[in-house]
Amino acid sequence: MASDNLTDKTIVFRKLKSKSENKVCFDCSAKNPTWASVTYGIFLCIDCSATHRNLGVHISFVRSTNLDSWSPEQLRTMMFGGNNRAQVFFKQHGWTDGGKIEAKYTSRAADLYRQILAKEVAKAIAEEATVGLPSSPVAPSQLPEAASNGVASYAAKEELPPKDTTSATSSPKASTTVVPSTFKRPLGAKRTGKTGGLGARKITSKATVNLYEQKPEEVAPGSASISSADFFGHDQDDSNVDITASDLINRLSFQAQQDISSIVNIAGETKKKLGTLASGIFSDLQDRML
Amino acid sequence: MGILFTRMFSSVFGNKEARILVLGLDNAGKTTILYRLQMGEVVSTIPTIGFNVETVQYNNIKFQVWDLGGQTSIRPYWRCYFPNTQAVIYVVDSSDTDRIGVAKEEFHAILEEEELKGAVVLIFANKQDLPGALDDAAVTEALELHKIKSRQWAIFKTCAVKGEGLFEGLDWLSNTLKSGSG
Repeated sequence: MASDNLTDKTIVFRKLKSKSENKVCFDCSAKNPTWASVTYGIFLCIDCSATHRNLGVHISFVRSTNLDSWSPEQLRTMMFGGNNRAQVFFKQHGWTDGGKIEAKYTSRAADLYRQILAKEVAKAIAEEATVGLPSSPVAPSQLPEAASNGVASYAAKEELPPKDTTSATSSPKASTTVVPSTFKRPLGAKRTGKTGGLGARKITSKATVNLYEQKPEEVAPGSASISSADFFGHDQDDSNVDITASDLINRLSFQAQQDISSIVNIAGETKKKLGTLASGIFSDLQDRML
Repeated sequence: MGILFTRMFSSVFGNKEARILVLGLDNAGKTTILYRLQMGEVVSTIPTIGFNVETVQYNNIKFQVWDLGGQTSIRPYWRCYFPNTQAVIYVVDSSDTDRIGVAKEEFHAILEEEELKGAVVLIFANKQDLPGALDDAAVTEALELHKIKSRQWAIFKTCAVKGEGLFEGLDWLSNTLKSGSG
């Protein structure tokens, strides 16, 4: 059941195409694109898909959203990607709209983005394989969350974007470019988080993984113990209630500790990632100056 | 009378007609090859939804070349074009190593078709200019061409955008068609 939702082409694309970011061609802003470059998780019109096809599959692998068959991995890439995320990434690396398509997609930034997406997809699929069955009984309501985690869980990591943008604006082109307001308007508040960028992005996938594991444990057993105490130990003795209460507190504090330690871990990793990003941008800059 | 005369004339000079299908996965280069053969130049193509058909006169043979779209869901319609086909040109994107297995399966499905039993098969290992492209030997191996029985076939390395290999393939095709049912 669970995997059905994520592997069914029509369901996935109905969901992705309902986002305003994916309603225009990534390269030329033509309306209602029905083609996609799986490599970058972006939606394209048929004319721009032709340009991408000419680049060769090692640079851009093009599929039709309604005429081609899609593998679960390819669908996953589209879910992790999306027009907005790619646009933000390219912008951070100095690629504005209307740049020469061939140069844009053979650039180092494109290569980097390609690798990031591929890694995330490989990781998600590997995790799915190891988690296997347990993930499927988790209520279907969690699936849409997982599908849209790229966007929805952005807001959670707001502390990171400022750092990111300062390092990004040090590149000469990025400072001059502002995301066109026509493109941004529809989603409003959500978008502000989205301008974050790659550092924030990678961690969000981790955070949702944590959510995945926590939810069933935290909510289900907790509520179960309360209800059982309510039913059996109601008029017999109150100490029983106390025990469960203290037990609850213990659990909660333990959970909190775990959360804190995981946040510390995440912070450490972001630090590393930001470091590598900064050095990447710096070398990029150097190249450009030369 | 006029028609009779033209027929006699063409039979004397060996002017034949042949119906040819250009098949292959999406983005293999079928349309580019068709127009390279027909006009001798590289046209910018968009994905073919449906088909393109052109006539190409070469070596006294009038080839009627059908280029059919290669997207997954329109491949089943290829069979509508199978009757009365003398030759199939199967185009492979040699640089798309991930999908060479899919290309093989589609290829062998075509060979199984009853209506194409008499058709000769020409394989174009296209996009030789791209990095990591498999050469003709590797494509032969990957498509398991050695398994083909009771049918004439040949494979050529091609690069449609540079025009390399295409007319060598057409030479083979015209010679085979001439000798086969001359």
